[in-house]
Amino acid sequence: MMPQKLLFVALVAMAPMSVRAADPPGEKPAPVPGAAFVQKYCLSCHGAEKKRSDLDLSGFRDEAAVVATRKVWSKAVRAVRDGEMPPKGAPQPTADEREAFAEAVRSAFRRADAGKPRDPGRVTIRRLNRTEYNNTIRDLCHIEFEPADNFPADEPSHGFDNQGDALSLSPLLMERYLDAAEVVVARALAGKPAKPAERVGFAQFMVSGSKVPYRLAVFTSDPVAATFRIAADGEYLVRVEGKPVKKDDPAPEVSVIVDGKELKRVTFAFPEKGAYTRYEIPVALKKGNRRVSLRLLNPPAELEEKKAAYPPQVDANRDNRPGLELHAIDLVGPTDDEPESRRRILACDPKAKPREQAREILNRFADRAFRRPATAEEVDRYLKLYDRSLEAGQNFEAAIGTSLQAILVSPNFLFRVELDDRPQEKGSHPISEYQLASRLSYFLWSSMPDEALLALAAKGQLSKNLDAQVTRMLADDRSDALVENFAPQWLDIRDLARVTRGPQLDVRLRESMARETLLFCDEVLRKDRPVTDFLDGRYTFLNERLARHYGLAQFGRDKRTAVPVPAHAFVRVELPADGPRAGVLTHASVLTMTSNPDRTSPVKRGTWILENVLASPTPPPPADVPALEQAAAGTVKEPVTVRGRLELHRSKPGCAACHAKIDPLGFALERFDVLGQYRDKDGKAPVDDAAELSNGQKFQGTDGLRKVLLGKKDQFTKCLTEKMLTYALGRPLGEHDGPTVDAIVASVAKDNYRFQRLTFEVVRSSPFTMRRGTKETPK
Amino acid sequence: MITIPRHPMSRRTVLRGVGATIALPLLEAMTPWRALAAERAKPPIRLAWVYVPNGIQMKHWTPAKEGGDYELPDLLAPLKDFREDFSVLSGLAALQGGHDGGNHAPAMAAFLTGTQPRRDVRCGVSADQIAASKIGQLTRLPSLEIGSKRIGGASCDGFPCVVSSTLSWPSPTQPLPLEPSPRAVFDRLFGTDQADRKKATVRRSILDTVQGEAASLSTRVSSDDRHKLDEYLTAVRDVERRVGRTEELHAPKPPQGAARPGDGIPAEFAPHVRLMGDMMVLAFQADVTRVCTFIFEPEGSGRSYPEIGVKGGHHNLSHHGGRAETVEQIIKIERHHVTQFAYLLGKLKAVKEGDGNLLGNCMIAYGSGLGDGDRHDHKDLPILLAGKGGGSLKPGRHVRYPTNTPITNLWLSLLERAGATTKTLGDSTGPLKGLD
Repeated sequence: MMPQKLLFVALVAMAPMSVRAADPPGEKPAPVPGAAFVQKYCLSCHGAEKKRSDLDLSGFRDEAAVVATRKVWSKAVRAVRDGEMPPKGAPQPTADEREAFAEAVRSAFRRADAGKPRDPGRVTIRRLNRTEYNNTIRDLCHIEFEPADNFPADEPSHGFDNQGDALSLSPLLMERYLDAAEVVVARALAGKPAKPAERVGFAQFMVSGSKVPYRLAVFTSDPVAATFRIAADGEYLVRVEGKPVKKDDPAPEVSVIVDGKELKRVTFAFPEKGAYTRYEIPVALKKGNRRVSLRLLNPPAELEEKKAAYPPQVDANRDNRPGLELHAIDLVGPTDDEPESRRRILACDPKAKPREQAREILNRFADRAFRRPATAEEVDRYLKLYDRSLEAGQNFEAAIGTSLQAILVSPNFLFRVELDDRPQEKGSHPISEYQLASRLSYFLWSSMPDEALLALAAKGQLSKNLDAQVTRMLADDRSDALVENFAPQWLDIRDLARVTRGPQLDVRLRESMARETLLFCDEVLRKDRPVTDFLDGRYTFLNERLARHYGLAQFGRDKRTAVPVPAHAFVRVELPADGPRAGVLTHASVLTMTSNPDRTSPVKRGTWILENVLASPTPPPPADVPALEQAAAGTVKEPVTVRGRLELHRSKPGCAACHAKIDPLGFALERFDVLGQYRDKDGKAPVDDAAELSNGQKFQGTDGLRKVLLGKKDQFTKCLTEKMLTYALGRPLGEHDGPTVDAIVASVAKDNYRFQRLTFEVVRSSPFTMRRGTKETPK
Repeated sequence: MITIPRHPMSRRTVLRGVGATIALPLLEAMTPWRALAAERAKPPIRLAWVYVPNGIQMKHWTPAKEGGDYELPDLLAPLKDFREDFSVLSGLAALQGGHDGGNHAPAMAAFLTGTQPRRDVRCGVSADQIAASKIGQLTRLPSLEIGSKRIGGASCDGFPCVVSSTLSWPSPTQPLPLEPSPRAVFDRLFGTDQADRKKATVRRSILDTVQGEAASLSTRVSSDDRHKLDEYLTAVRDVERRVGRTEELHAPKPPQGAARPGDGIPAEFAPHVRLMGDMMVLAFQADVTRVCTFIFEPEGSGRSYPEIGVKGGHHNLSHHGGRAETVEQIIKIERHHVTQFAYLLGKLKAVKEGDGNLLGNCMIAYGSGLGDGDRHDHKDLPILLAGKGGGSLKPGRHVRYPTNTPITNLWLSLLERAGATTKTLGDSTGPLKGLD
């Protein structure tokens, strides 16, 4: 994301002077690119005389002067290419002339950049934000606990809450860090599980639309499976409950299978007491996704012959066919006494002396907490604290705990410090392997690197295996963090939970709206869809509440477009090709966030599109905007509709420049009300969703808008690239990042705009993998 | 084979609710002034700033006459019982709040700093933090930052949102976050636990250790990064100071009748702001701090107030273009804010202190960094100054200052009275006269 407002005056005034000074004597400088075009179409307004919008394009002597004010000229190129300039009424260049001008300026930039190493920019050391803190604690201490939820909020900067410059550390936050460290260590070292063994998963025999998910009748040898995600290695109990459908049926014999291996065979006799026969089978499991399945070993022969005709039935075995009536598949645990966290943190050589044990424990913990090997000096510091704690009367474990707390509030843990490991080197060079591991893991997982990444870094093999690691990391559940943290901030819907829009926007609707957008983004990532799906994907994810909200439920208003949607779950729904909805622009979440509490806001919606889709943000309104009352006094009868008022607004020269860009985009979405519901009328007036771009291109409604935006898909890709790079780097982009962004866009475009390509390219880019030399002065 | 998902999509943890609350640290403080210095001691002076966003309809705010017998304009009507407890100050300006790109965020940042903020989060030290640095060591908390957080979708004028979410800048690079939860404020003031010296000892040794690490790290990073480590070290020392006191002194007891507020933040404006006001009164009453910034709503706030019949968002309404019905709506909001301020003054006045009441020993500025919100201007700001400042202020009047008098001059005068004299503050030109 580029800075929003350019300081035209300062840049234009300074540039020629500095250029003159830099001119090598006796060499003829290259002419200003596109000089004839500028002369013909621009200078009558943006010349030395009028300096409209404080822009004077006349003072440039040569190409070097143009390159030195790259920002100004990039913006001019964009305005010309997009047809914003020259304005309506002025003589218009042909499309070819426009393109030729843009190319002339861009090739001047390319000439200037050729051969120069790309400046990777510099990242301020970054404090972990709340999400990163929670996730890091989870992965570092092996506990499920989110202490950061009552930390002060991390204020977003440049659209994201992970920007180094803005992540400050107040005394209030320091207090909370200390409290959190105390609780985290207490939990991690707790001798017994904090809670009794608890179920980590429960198989509900949900079939879309079913209301009573309790009983499942199984008639054939096709297995029934449930998947559980468990957080820690340990001893678990597989608990199964069932009975024959009827008392007189032969008792079903069942094979209990865990991850494809038979664990045990059990027989479900008809229960003498209680409703079901229950088995609890102990099993040692590794953490991760575990699948428990049951296979009926003695199915009734006549049903087994025609397997396909007798699938399992939920709660509807009205024919009383013989078979197994299954009530539950459960996984309970872990049942071990010593929790994983404690076991792993305190592991040490049992024969060593206590102080050596302490060193081993603290060294290992500090290595992981600092995401790189801790230095001997660092470990000694925490060992000294251990000594002091012993002297103060603490026992071994308490003293270890105190040092662990200190590690958790140390700057090397709370900040991602990237010290230069080659400070003598003058130019840009790669960051260290450990730093790369952290950049990767915080980008894709919002958490610390795992053992695999750290092991590769230790061997110096990570940068050589980047692609494979990104593939692996995206396949890991932790990459949900990329969707959950990047997408809502890019789309600016994070505050959906907190806006007020009257009673209709209840908790369930808010959550449903947010979930729809997340699942959509998740789909684009997981299925590696083209990024253009964000603009025109004719599918989405709905639950019943949202389907009703959209008028798409079976009992919805419009029978023609009705789709079946289960009551509670979200399902993927293909959207009707002739309907108004497609892509995130028509998600209720986005439409709600870009409305005012009491009416739609074409200005907000237009601004949203410019900022988040087209990478073309407009500056905020200037100071001392004349009040409309003065501007319009006595001349015009005040229009009643929002649109009418905006039209009036745009007739004022001070407002027109930006609002001619903003408003039309928003008008096209007028068929969606403040909560994103479809409407034909705005109050009593029929909705008018016709719009005209500042270059005169006319379009209507969401379909028209989509065509306009798809016509600029490289610009959209650029926007998304800039957002993702900002998120990945934790710093705002600068002019020096331009070539990186362009290269990524080109590569993504070449790969059919696939989303994962974008992720790979961001990771490979020089700002992500390199650093400025310590001796280099910032530009 | 059919597969039954455990729970469709359940690995997606979206929109988490409020999580577990962890215990706050045990913090004790210096003995309140009254226990320290017997009854002869003069009560200390307290300083507070109450901020409202988006400017004010000045036609309905500024009294026509100067001096003591002015007629109360309709926006100030809720304050009629406190006429003699506050003055209206007109003509003050926060010109550094103007910016060629956006006016809300800078308006707030410049209000107490007199400095125009930059987009990379650089501003100036704020008046309240000057007070905190000069008189903050006398109390358990150097200062308190409380109020409401920004809701939804605001672009923050292209500045990092933190710039328009706080008034307090202890250093030019460090905006302080505010605490929106009444319970968290209470716990910060009085601690959740009773004395636990052992814990304080442990904390001190932890802080010692990490300070060493930060200092050694600080020598090896670039100057930009050093800023961040300085922030860290400042925070560590600040906490250390408080922990240190824990061992020496007793924790302040909450004043009689004060109850710990419930968890969570009231959704409606008035109940929330009143609870937060109660917390500020408690803090002053128990002398846990003498400096407070209280943000009724952050600058540019788009909050709507359906409970008083205002459906439109505040910021939007502020660009009313002079339409009568819109102006009527925004006036409802502005009066609603002033009403909560009246509640706060009433609470302060009800607390006996020395020969008078707590309000008499306060200096509380109420106002906005924008004048006319519709025009985005920073001149002729709406400013009230309440309290007698221990006898150093003469309230009950409307005072008009020459146009464009920097508001930082007012802050200089208040700081002087609070024993936190400073020579300059941002764009100040010298202390403001005519307050006494």
